This record gives sequence, C-alpha cells and structure tokens, in this order.
Amino acid sequence: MSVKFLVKRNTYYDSVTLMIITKEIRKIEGVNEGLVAMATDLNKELARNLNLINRELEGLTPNDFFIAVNLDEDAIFEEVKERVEELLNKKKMDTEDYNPPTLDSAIKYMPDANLVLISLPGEYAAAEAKKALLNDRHVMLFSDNVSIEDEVELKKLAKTRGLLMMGPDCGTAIINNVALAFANVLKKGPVGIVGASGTGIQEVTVVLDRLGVGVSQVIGTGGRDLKAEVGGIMMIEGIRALQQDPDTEVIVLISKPPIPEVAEKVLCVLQEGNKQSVVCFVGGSPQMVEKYGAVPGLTLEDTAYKAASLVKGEPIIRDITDFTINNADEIVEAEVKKFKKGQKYLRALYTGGTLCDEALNILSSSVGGVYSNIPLDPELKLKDVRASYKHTALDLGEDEFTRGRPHPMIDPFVRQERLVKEAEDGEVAVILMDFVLGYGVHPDPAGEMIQYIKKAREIAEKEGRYLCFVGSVCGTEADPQNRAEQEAKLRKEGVILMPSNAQAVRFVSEIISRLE
Amino acid sequence: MVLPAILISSDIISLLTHNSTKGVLHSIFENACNIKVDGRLITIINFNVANYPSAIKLGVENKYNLKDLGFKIGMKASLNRESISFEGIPVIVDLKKAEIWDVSPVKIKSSVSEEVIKNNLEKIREVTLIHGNLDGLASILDRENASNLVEFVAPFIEKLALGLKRQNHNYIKELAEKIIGFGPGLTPAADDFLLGMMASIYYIGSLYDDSFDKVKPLIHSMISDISGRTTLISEVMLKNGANGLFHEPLRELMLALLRGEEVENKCISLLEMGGTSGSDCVAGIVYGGLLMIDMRGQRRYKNVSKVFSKEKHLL
Amino acid sequence: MSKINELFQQELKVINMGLESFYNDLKKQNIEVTHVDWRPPAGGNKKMISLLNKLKG
Repeated sequence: MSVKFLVKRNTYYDSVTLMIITKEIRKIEGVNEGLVAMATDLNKELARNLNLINRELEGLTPNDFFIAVNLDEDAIFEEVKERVEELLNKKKMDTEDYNPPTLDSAIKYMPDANLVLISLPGEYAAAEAKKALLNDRHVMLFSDNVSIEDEVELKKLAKTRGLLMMGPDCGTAIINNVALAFANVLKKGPVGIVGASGTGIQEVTVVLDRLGVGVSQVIGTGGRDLKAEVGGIMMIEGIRALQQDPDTEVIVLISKPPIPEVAEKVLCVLQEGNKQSVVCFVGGSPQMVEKYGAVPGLTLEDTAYKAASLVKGEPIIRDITDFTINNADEIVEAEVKKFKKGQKYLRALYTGGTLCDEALNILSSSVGGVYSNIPLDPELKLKDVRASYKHTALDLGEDEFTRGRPHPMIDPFVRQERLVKEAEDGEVAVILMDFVLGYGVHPDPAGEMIQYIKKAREIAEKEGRYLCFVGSVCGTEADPQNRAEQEAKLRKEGVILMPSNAQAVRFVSEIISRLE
Repeated sequence: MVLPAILISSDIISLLTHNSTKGVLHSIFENACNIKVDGRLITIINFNVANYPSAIKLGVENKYNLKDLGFKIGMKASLNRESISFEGIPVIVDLKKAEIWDVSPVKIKSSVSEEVIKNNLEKIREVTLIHGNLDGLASILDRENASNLVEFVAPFIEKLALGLKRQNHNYIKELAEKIIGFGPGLTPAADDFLLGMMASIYYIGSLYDDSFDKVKPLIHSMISDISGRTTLISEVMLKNGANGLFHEPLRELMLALLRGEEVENKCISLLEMGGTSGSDCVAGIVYGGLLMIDMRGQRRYKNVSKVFSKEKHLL
Repeated sequence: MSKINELFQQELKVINMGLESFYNDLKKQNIEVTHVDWRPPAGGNKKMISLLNKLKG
C-alpha cells in the first residue's frame, strides 16, 4: 500500500472535469481510494481521515489542486498520472451525449428540435405528448395503453396547432427520409403514405422499394385514428399535408376498414386534392374507394404495385392476386407429398399485426375459418391464446403476449417458445412466419429463429412428421439487417420464402387446401 | 475578431467606465473565462450559460469554445464601457449593444403561507433526489443514504445551523470558515451548498417583511473572513451571495418559492448546472429554507433571543 | 404553409423519450437527437423531513 500525490498549483479545472477524474481513477485496478480536490483546510482534513496525506499536501493553499491516491503498489501511479493527464487534456467534454432529465430541459438544450418521439409507459405518455404539442413540436407517440379520450384530446390539440400527432400506438413513420421507431431504409421518391398500421406501412413501402419506387413522407396515425371516436383526425391532416407537399405525386392510405362515415370523410378529403391515390382498407370492399375516384389496393402488395404503376404513368390493368415467381405450383406439389397422414393444419406465427390481419383476410376466402387472437369473426376467437386450435394465425405483438416483455419484433422469445410448442402438435403441417427488418427491430430476426426451426424439425422428425416452413422477409437491401443476408440464412434452413406476405399466405393456402 | 456581448450584469457597470481599467486573465474554460480586476472577477460567458453576477454574456451567433480563441492565463486585458480588449490577440468583446441584466435582489412581500413553502421545499427535495447529482453534498437530503463525504461534513453543517438558529455571529463565522472550500471542484461542493443556504436565509429569512436588513448580518458573518480559504472563483461567488446577488436559476427558484409558483422545472434548471454544483446548491436551499422556517416558529412561540454561551463546547 | 409542410422542408431534429434503442437508431442515421433521461415524476409519497432533527432541543 502506498499513497501518491499529483499537485497542480494555481490551476483551475471545472467541477465536471474533476468529478470525471475522481470517478475514473477509482475505476483503475489497484487504486483503493482517491481524492481530487482543491487544498482547502477541510479537504486536507478529509485527506488525513482517508490516510491520504503528506507534507507537501499540508503546505498547499486553496488555489492548488491535488489528486491523492492510495495504491496497492507504486507502479500503478504511472497509470493514474497518464489517465489524469488524458482526462485533463481532453479538449472537449462529450456534451453531445448530455441527457436532460425532462422534456422542458431537453427543449431548452435543443431549442430547434422539431419532433418528439415518445415511447414511455402509457400512463405517462399522454402528459408528455401534450407538453410537446403545447411547445409546438410535432409528436410521434409509439406508446400504447393511452386512453382513447386522451388520444382525441391530443389530436384535437395538434390539429388546432397545425402539428403532427402520430399515434398513440404508432409504430412506423418516415419523415424527411428518417426512419422513426420501426421503419425500413427506403429510397427517396414520389409516394406519400398515411397509414394507421405499422407493419402495413412497412410491407407496402418495402414492396415499393423492390419495384424501384421510393417514398416522400410516411405518416403513421396509430391504429385507432379511423375509429368513430377519433374520426380520422390525423389521417385527414396527413392527407392535406401530402396534397400540399411538392415532393409527393401519389398518395397511399393504409388502414383496417373504417366505419362508413369515417371512410367517406377521409375519401372526400382525398378526392379534393388533385393527386392520384391508392387506398388499402385491408379486407374492406373496393367499391367505396372507387366511388371516390381512388384506386383500391386489395392487399398490401397489390397496393404497392398499383402505386408504382401510377408513379410510372403505366395503366393499371390488373390486380396482383397470384404469384410473381414461376415455379410456385411445382414447389407446392413437392411439399404436399412430404407430410405424414393426419398432418393438415396451418399455424401462422406473426410479429406484425397487420400482416396477420392480411393473412386472416386472404385465408378466409381460400381455406375458410382461421382461429386467432385477432379473428375476423368473433366466433373464431381462440378460447385460450396459449393453445392453437385447427388453423390458427396469431398476432404475437398483442398485449396478451407482450405483457412485461418487449414487442416480438425486438425480442423473439415469445415466438421461439411458441414454435416449439406448435411442432409438438401432430396435426400441424405448415408454419408461416414473417420476418420484419429495419430500424427499431431485432438486429437479426432470421438468425434468432433458425435454431428453433431446427429444433421444431427434430421434434417432428422423431415422430416421422415433416414440417413445412414458409415465410416472407419484410425488408430492404439497405436495412441494417440486409434483406439478402436474412433470406439466405432462412433458405439454408429450408424455409420457403415468398416475395411478399400476401404471396406467402396464398402459397400456404395452396398447400393446406390439398391436405384436407 | 469582434465578439458582440448581449448582456452585462448590473453589478459591474460601475467598473466599466469611459477610462480603461486594467485586468488580468485569471482562468479560461470552454464556456466562460474570468478576468481579475481589483480582486473582483468579471466573467465572460457564452450564451448557453445562465446569467451570473459580474458576467458579460456573448451573443448566440458567436458560440466559440473560449479555450480556442488564444486566451492565456495572465494575459492583460483592458476594459471600458465600450469594449474589452486583450494584449497580444486580436479578440475584442464589444459591449456597445449589450443590455443590462439587473442582478439586484428582488424584494417581494410574500402572501404564501409557511405551509406552502414547506411543501414546496419538500417537492424540491424529492425532485433533487430523483434528478440531481448526489456525488457532492446533495445526499444530505436523504440522510439514511448519505455518502461518506456528507457524513464527514454534516456535523459541521449542523453546528453552523445551530449557530444561525442562536444567531451567534462568532459561532457562525468559525463554522462557515471551516466548511468553506470543502469538497471536490472549482466551486467546492460545500461552497455551492452555502450559496444555497444564503439564498434561503436571504429570501425565506426575510419572509413577510420587506427588508433584507435583519438577515444580512447573519450571512455576512458567514463570509467575514473567507479570503484564501477557498478558490478565488468560489470566494467571489460567496461574497456576491452575501450581498444578495445570485445567478439567475437560483434567484428564479427562490422567487417561485416565495410566490407559491411551480418549482419543479425551476429546480431542474438549477440542478442542470455543471457537475454537482446545482444539486449542492439546491440541497443548501432546502436545508437553509427549513432552518429559516424553524427559526420563525421558534421566534413566534418562545420569543427566544440570544442564549448561546452553552453551545461553545460543541466546537 | 402549414407547420407539417414546414417540417417537411426542415432538417429533422428529434427529442427522444423512452426506448434508448430509438435514440441509437437515430444517431446511426446521423440525425441530431437528444435523449431525455426520463424518470417517473415525484410521486407525492412524502417522507417527513428529518433534516433538522439533530438540531432539536
């Protein structure tokens, strides 16, 4: 044990620097105690109490700065000195990473901030969103568990102030080419989107991207915007903004089918503008959309194809309702032969809510009733969401699965566990999954599922069964996870990948309908 | 290079005459630099720093790291009402367009009850324990979890409080001298704490009557002999405090307390000041504020005057 | 021009409250972003102030 000193006479350092030094030197291995202070009487007394004193220190004045350390061995002092010099000479403290404690102080710290992204627990989120709006900042509210009364109040407030109030429960937005929360890396382009559904938006934009078409602005409204209580406030404001936006040529709307009054209100506003538009009310009837002069998108993929045609000035001659790959039928034939007798059911394990909803819509007309935690028909609601029944499609992002856990797009645990469970069911033939890429989500969604896909196969093979895995990757080449790499990982494990969710669902319908 | 100033603190106007005054650069930081003039310090600050006594604030457009402008400690400066220039470097601070920021104490007659002030002090305490930096002396606000540093200095602070309560000026002087300069930092933690205490004595101690005269002697006893006991920067800060001159976030919080206004955000503005300074200062406000309210109660019920000889042994 | 359309012409500058991963994602996109070190507000479950207890008597 030894005590060493570093003295700087008549030298001043600000207290932040000194505090950092104190913390850093205590972290060095072999340093038992450290004191960094000006040599005032009481500081010297403290040094004495800590056994960190020598004659030189006794003689210092309050304008002298000292560092006293108690070390395991002398040699460590060199390291301490080096570290101290390094910290003192660090030209600029890292102010970029300053984290203010409140929204008010953040606004003071960053007066030109124009958008506040809120993902706090629901009970606190509305109050913070209101503060942001009252400070004239646009808001994206990712949090759910915000009451519909609060939503109405916030959106009305935003409307009077001319601000965006995206959410609550808004998972995706792209403003000025910046991905907010869950969003893909897209090209800049002429399609402007307003959507009430996060993964719906992601699927449309990703397919657009593959068709070589980029987006101008992507505005999320949150899932309840088109409910009667809210009345589409933010979708209407979003449409108006895109109509005024010189970079937007084609407008795309995405939502679950709203009640007729709200749908008409929204479509009226859309018609007032002179921009071409495609409207995808997932599972809704196309007639109403046509009545207001907009092009109906039948699926998310179909919506993207039609928007791309409008951008390119091509006539829309058909709906995309089949496969865009050539050998789908052959693959179906080959797969059907591999099952053991009694295997007949589909289990779809979705992380994306709208993708699941789209699947239910497509399946309802091809294979009939599918059970779910978010069924189209209340009679098809699973009695116990933990146990699948006949054909089942699950939205694993719903509350009953996420309670106390992050969303399955961030944390794959819920789906991993569920997959193994489905594999144990002797009647299961096909497993359908989505893999959503982009910012905000897990850095390797495919990689996280692979070992569980293997495990599921092993479980089935022990009983002589074959499991068919089908999926689609919702992502672009520019996404942090890279679409091609993710697809390669899945293909290597024998997962059959289709270019879109709609096609993946159609593909599993083909298989299932031959097993009955 | 001409750096236009936007604000001058009112307490240094008398120093900036038409004839030039000489000063010496005393210390330089990223956002502030001090010029020593006749034992006082004039501080040039960037716009993002709060308004301070004796400060000259630069405009938004000229945000430089002041360490990068060529200033050297010991460099001579020449100051007058129009500008400040420096020997050897082509930097001039232009004061012509600067407005005057009135730093003097604001006298208000409070209509807010003691109970409300007490509750607001409690709120400030809670906010500090949530958002503050407790590495200095602020953990004194939660004695059960106080740091070793606090345990070491708390007995002295308690004795000082006793001295204030008994209005024993010698006692106050001795204890303050002992405490001043304690703790790490350029304005050592204890000095920030004492500054906060001073603000509470000044504003809450004079509650319900218009004058600061009754409390001034108490504070002046605290600093009557502090020269050389702490850093010059800190010494100047405490001397200003003794005269009721506080930086803006501190004054704003005190005024909010007296007016019964919202204190949480004002408190946070203060907590955000560098390192532990803000938190130590708030701890001093809470401690000093409760002490002042306690003393008022004592005056009211017992009308106790000065019996302090007994406390001598505590030293 | 509406404030939303003004936003479309500005550089996006974000204050993030909540998930730190969103903050990191924005930094990766080279967006100016400030992360708020948010804590639940003071709950009002006050403890009696015992600061001055040692001075009593």
